[in-house]
Amino acid sequence: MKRSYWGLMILICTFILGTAGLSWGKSKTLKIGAPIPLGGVGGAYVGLGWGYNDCQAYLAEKGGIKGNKVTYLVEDNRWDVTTEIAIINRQLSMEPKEELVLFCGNLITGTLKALSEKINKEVRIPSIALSFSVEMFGKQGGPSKYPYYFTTGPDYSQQIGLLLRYIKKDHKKDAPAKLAVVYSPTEYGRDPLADMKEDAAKLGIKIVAEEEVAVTASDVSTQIINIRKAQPDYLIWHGFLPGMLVAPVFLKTARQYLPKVPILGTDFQTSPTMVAAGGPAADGIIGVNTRVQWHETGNPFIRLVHEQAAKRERKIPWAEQSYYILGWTMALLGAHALDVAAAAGDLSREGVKKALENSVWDFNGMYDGRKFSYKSHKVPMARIYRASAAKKEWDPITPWLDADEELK
Amino acid sequence: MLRVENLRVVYQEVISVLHGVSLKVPDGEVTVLLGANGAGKTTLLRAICGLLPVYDGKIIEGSVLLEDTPLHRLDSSTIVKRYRTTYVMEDRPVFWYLTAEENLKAAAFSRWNREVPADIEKVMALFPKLVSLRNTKAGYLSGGEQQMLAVGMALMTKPKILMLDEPSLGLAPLIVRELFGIIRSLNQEGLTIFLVEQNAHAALSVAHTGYVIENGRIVLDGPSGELITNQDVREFYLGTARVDQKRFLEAKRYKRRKRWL
Amino acid sequence: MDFFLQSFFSGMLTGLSYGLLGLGLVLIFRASEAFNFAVGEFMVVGGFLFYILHFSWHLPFLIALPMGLLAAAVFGAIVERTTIKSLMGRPALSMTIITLGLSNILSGGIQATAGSNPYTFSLDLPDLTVEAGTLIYPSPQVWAGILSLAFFSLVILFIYRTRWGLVIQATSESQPKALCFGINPQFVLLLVWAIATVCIGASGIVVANLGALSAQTSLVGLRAIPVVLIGGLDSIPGALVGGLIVGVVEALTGAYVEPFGLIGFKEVVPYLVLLITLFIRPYGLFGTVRIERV
Repeated sequence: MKRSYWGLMILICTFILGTAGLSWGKSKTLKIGAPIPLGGVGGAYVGLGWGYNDCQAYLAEKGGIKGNKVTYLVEDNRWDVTTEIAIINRQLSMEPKEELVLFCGNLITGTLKALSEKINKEVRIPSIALSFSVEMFGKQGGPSKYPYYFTTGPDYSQQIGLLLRYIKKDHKKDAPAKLAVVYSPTEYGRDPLADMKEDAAKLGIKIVAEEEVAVTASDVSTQIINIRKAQPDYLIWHGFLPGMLVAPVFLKTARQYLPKVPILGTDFQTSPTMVAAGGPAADGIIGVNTRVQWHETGNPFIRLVHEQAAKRERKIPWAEQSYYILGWTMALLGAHALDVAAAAGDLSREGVKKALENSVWDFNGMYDGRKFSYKSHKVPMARIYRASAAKKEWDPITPWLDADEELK
Repeated sequence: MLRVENLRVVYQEVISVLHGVSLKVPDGEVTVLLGANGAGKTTLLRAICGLLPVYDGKIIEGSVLLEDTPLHRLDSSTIVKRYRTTYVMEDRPVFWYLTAEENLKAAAFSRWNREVPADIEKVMALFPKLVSLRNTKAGYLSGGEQQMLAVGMALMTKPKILMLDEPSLGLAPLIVRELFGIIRSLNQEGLTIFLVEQNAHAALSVAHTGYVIENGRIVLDGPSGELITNQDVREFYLGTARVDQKRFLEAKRYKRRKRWL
Repeated sequence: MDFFLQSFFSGMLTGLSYGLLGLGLVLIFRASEAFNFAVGEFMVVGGFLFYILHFSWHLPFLIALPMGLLAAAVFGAIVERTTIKSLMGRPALSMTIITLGLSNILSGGIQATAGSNPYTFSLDLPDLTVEAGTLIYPSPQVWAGILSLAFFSLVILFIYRTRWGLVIQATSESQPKALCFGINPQFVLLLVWAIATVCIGASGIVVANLGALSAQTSLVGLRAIPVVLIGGLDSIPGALVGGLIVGVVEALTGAYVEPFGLIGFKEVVPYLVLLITLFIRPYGLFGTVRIERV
C-alpha cells in the first residue's frame, strides 16, 4: 500500500513538472478563446466549429500572423451562461497573458452581463461576441462603458428598428399598425424590449400583445391564442435560436392560428435551419440578417469560404452552411485584429483592442466592398430577407442597410 | 406415473426446505400428502411444476420424473401444456378482477381450440353454483365458490395430473364435503390427483395412497386405509389422542417409532 | 366567453394526446409494476421510426403509420427483452431504476444518431381545421385529438374484448397465478410493452406534427407524470381523464393566469393539481385503493 502511494505521488509530480517544463521553451502561440454552442438547449452548431478549425488551418498555411501560430481554443458552452463563464474563467487562468489576447466566440448576452466588470476593468481582454445586445452595444452601453466588448452586427434594437421601419412601409391601412411581440425570458430575449417600445411609439406602431415563450417550451398554443385575441397586423419574434425545438413549434402554431399575420424575426431567427425546421409553416417569414448567404457566390467572402471548404474536402450539409459562414466570419475577424495589431507591433491585449477599434475593413468583401470602421464596436450592416420554404433559403428583399444611417 | 426422487430444494440459496423427498403418484389414483404448516408441502408442489424460480427457489439435488421425462428441467408453461400437469395454488388462485367466465377463458388460453366453449359448459355443469355467478367478478365470490372456480380453471387446461394445494383451507365442512365429492368423481373419470392437505379426515377419505411430510422429510407412507388407523397419524393429524394425557413428558413425537435417517 | 371556449377545447385536444401517453405508462405499470421513466425517449424513437419511413423513404402515410408503429412495437419488445425480462421476480423498484438508466442511454443514442437539431415534421393530412366565428382549432391539433382518441379506443377494445387482452389483464393481476394455468408471463409482458410503446410512439408522432421532431421532444414525456398520477397509476380510464384534466388546466392557466405575470406557471400547475388530488385520493382519482396491513 505504501509503495503504490509513493509511486503515484512521483508519477503525479513528474507529470506536473513535465508539462510545465514543456511549455517553457515554446515559441509564442497566439490564442483566441472561442466558446461556441456545440450542444445544449440552443441546438448543436457544429458548422461553427468547422469554420474556426478551417480558418485556423488557412492561417497556418499563410504562415500565421507574423510568424506566430494562431490557435482557436474552441469549447462547447452548451448555450448556457454558467458553462460559458466557467470556460472563460478557466481559459483566462490557464493561458498566459501574452498568448491569450482575444476572445472571439458566442459570448451569450447573459455572459457579457455577468463578466462585464471582470473583462472590461480587471482582465481587459478584447472580446468579440455573437450577441447583439442592446445593453452592451446600444445607446446606453457602447465603447465608453464596455471598452473591451465588440460584436459583429447591429444591436438588437437596431435590428428591430429596421423591421419596424419595414412594417411602417408595408402597412397600407389608415389605422396604426398593430404589433404583437414574442420573446424568450432570457437576457437575450428581453434585451431590446424597452428600446423597441420607444421606437414603435415614435413610429406610430401600437404594440397590442407581448408574450413570453420559454426556450424549452413544446407547446405555445396558449400564448398564440392570447395574441389572436389582440388581432395584430404583424408579429415580431426575438430571443430564439434555430436549433431550439420551440422555434418550429412556434412557427407552425402561429401560422395555424394567425394565418394572415406576417412574422418578422431578428438575426438568429433568420437562418436556413429555421426554414427547414418549420417546413411549409416557415414559408414567407421575414427576418433581419447580418450574414451573407451560402448561395451568393458572387460575393468574394463567400467565394473564399467555398474555396477553403473544398480545399479541406469538407462537405458542408446545407443545415450547417450558415454556421460555417458565421464561424469563418468570426475567426477571420479575430485573425484580422491580430494582423493589424502585429503590423502596429503590439500583440498584447491592449494592442489587439486598439487594432480592432482603429481598423477600417471590408471583411474580405462581404458587404459589397463597403468598408467601415469598428469604432462603435459594431458592424452596422444588415439586410432584410424573406424565406422560401421550397428553396429552403432566404432571399434578400433589401440591399445592405447601414443601421446607423437608417435609424437616424 | 409421477415420481419424485430424493428432491432437495433450497430457497434463496441458503434456506433448505426439502431434504431428500421421494414419493410416487400412480396414474389414475388419488395420492395425498399430509403435513403441518411449514412442512414443505407447497414447496414440493412448486418444485414439481416448475414454479420455484418465482419464489427464488432451486432444486439442488434429485429429480422429478413423469414416466421418464425429467420435469425439473422444464419451465412451467411447458409442464402445463405438454405434460398436462396442472397445479392449483393454495388460497384459491382466481383472478379477482375478471368474471368467473373470463377466468375460465383465461385459464384455457394456453390450449385454446374450438372445444373451449363446450369445456366451459362442462365446468359449469360440474359446479352448478358457478352458473349464476358467470358474470360476477371472481373477487366477490365466497371462499367455496372461488375454490370451485379455481378447480374449474384447472380443468380448463385439460390436465392428466391435477395437483391441489390445501383446497379445504378456510372452507365450511359442508363445502369441503361437496368439493371432495367432486374430487372423487373426477378421479373416477380417470384423472390422477395429487392432493396436499392439512385436513387429514377429508383427504384420507378420498385418497388411495398417502404420505406424511414433516420438516422437509417424508416420515410415513402407505395405503390410506393403513394411515387412517396408524396411531401416529391419529394422534398428530386426526386429533384422536388419549383424552387423559396429562403429562407433556408423554407427548414426545413419534416415540414409538425408531428410524435411522 | 369565446376566449374561454377557445382555450378549453384547445386544452382538451392536447389532453387527448397526453391521455394516450398516459395509457402507455399505465399498461407498463400494471404488467411490470414499473414506472417507465424513459417515456420521453420512447416518444422520440417512435417519432423517428415513423419519420424514416414516411419522410426519408417517402412511403405513403397510410403505410408508413402502421409500419412505423410496428417498428415501435418491436423496439419496445427489444427493450423489454433486454432489460426488464431479466428482472422477473425482483422488486418493482429495480425495474423503475432501470428505466431511468434506459432514459439516459436512449437520449444519448438518439442525439448521437440523429443529432439535436429539429427535423421538419409536417404530415400532409386532410385539412380538418374547425372554424366557428372567432374560434379556430387548427388541423394538426384536431388530428392530434382524433388520432389519440382512435388509438386509445383500439387499445381498450383489444384489452377488454379479445382473449389476448384477457390474458394481459390476468397476467397484470398476478404473474404466479398466470404461470399455473400455462400462461407464459414473459410473452405477455413482451406484448404489453410492445402495445405500450405503440401508444407512446403514436403520441410522439402526433406531438411532433405540432412542431418538429428532435431529441428535445422527449421533454414532453415528462408531462405524463402528473397525467398518470392524477388519474391513478393502474387505471386505464384514469389515464384519459388525467390527460384531459392536465391539458385543460394547462390551457386555462396559460390563458387566464399567466397574463398576470406568472410566466411559465402553466408548466407548474399540473403538479399543483396533482398535489391536491393526492391529498384527497392518494392513489389517484381512479387508482385501486390498496388496503395495506402494516
